[in-house]
Amino acid sequence: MPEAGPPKDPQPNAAPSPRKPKSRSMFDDPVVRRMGYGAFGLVVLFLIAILSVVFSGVIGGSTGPRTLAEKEVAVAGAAVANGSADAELWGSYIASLIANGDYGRARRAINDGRKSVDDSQTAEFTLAEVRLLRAQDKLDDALKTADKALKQMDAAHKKALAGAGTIAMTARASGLPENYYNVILIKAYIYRDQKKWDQAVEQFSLYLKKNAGAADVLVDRGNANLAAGDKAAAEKDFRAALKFIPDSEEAIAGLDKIGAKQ
Amino acid sequence: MSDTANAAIKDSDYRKGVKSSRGRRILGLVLIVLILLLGLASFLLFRLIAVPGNDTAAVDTGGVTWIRSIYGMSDAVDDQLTRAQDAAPGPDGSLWITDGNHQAIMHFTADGRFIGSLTGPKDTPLYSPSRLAVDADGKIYACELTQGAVRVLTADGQEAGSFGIPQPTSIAISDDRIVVGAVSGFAILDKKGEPLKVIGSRGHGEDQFDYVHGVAIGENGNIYVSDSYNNRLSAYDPTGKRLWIVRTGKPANTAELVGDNLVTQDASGTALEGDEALQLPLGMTIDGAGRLVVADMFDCTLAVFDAKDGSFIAKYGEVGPEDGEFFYPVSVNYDSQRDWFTVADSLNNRVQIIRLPDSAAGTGASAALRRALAGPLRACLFPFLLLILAIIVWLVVRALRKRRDAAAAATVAPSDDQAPHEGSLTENDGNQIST
Repeated sequence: MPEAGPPKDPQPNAAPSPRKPKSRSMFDDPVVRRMGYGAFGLVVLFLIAILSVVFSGVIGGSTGPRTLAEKEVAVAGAAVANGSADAELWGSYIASLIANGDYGRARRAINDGRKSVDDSQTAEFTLAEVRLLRAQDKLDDALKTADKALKQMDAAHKKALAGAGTIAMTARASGLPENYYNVILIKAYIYRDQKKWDQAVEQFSLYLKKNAGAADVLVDRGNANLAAGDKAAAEKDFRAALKFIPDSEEAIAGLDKIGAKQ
Repeated sequence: MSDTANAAIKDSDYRKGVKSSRGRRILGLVLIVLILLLGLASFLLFRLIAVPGNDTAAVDTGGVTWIRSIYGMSDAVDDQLTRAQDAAPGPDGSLWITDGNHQAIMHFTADGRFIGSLTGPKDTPLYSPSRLAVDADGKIYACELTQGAVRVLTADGQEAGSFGIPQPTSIAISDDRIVVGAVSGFAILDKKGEPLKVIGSRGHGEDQFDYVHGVAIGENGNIYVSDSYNNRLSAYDPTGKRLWIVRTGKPANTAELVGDNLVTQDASGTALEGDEALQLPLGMTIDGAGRLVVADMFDCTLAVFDAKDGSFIAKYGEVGPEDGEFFYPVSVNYDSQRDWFTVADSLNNRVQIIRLPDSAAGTGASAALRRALAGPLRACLFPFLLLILAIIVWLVVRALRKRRDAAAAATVAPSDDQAPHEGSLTENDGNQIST
């Protein structure tokens, strides 16, 4: 095999050899070249954006809660992390996670809470699950879970009534737990979300049997009645709400909608 | 024509007409992946810096535009604010905050990130700092009501000329003066803390005061005073001569128990009645439009007055716990650079950064720009400017290239009919190769 010698100097008087075309590259295509410039520009832009974010002080350092929901997560979360066995506290923690849009953590908290806290009486975690499913817009699943929660609380209440001594007396005196009616109210709102006005009115009515002075729920039932076409029932509800809150803007707006005199 | 020139023209012709389908597919894919990645990264970045989970549209804030709240130094329970007292903006927009639980002045960025806190020098620590003011040099002035002093500290916590004054309840700073409100009146001092004039005694009379919980200094040097329990506002020129005084509601110090009810007597000459009346005017500030903004603690609102004559303009705010609502706001400060107010929302245990209508100085465009650059979106400023610059450069280069191509085409045109001269070929050749 011949050895490659040192490159020879070009002969000054030699005729110039024809230049070979350069090897073809995809970047010879002007469209590809422009796309390449675009891609490079995007990367540069992104890197500058990152530097800008860092140097403008927008990120970094410690941040406390910035919204009410974050504050509730922080405070209730600290109590839960300290091993609280208070189901209600767990419930408010999960509710604030849901309000914060942190559905993944809310789901994990429901699972963790079920493992460590007894909620057989109040169905706190099933209620939390209903809230979560509603927030995730899984309305049919939320309704099924709500019915499950109602059954659980009803069964626990009946069991307590059948018991002896103070347990039965307490159950008789306090009736069904507050969460029972909270679940009914959530069901009403789910039906309202689904525009099933008759079922919504039915659930609002169940709730109002126990909480007759809930002016906001009276307004909600009034609006559901109005949507269902029952103007007389709607007017009755708006007027009832005004008895509790005389300057209720929502109730006055409801009366305006049906053209009733205030 | 030389062989070299011919080869170059062939090469450039090839380059002009070539179409690489494979290259376009690859670069197209790269561009799509890049755009997706950048979109995802931008979304994550936005989630990181934007205030999450806030739906103030569903909350009746009574005309207040909520920007953000500051609840504490971290997520730890002990680090949460309790009974917020004051939130004074520094010259760089950062906030100095006091509350009823921490014997310190807490420092936050305008974005609500905790930077650190001042507890004062070791030998003379802060006791219970309440109302604050920050001067143009960044020095912090803090009222120590029970200590009878105004503490002056540098931003790194060093002593910077504290001075004594009986029962200070509020403070305002201008370039050359300090005004300190107290239980029985207010004092005008120079920047060293030497009194220039002391005005008032405690009582109900026109020249008397009952807890001055708010003072402010206008751009022209006029001084504004919130006489809290007398429910009055008054204005003074820089020498301390009174310009106007208005009673803004029933004075709280006439309240007496009648049966089971606490009743406040009607006061003669009350300028405001009904919903417009103030219940307990506390902290006050001057906004960019030169209006007087007063925190009404018991009404849970911010009331706006004309600084020229004390006439009522408007009221903003609703009572409630949601972000954008108030529950016993005790102080309000204005940041002219960002056109926003910082409100110590006492019983909601937070500081709120909010905006009110028509508060900005200058034209709408400059105010809008200042507002836009006040938030985290300012991080987009440099990339945006770069993008604009890149587009301008591209447009200029494109225009230059078009002009050059047109000139080259004009030179080549005669060569269609006759063989070009050596000189013109070389020029044309060079031009195409560089294309």
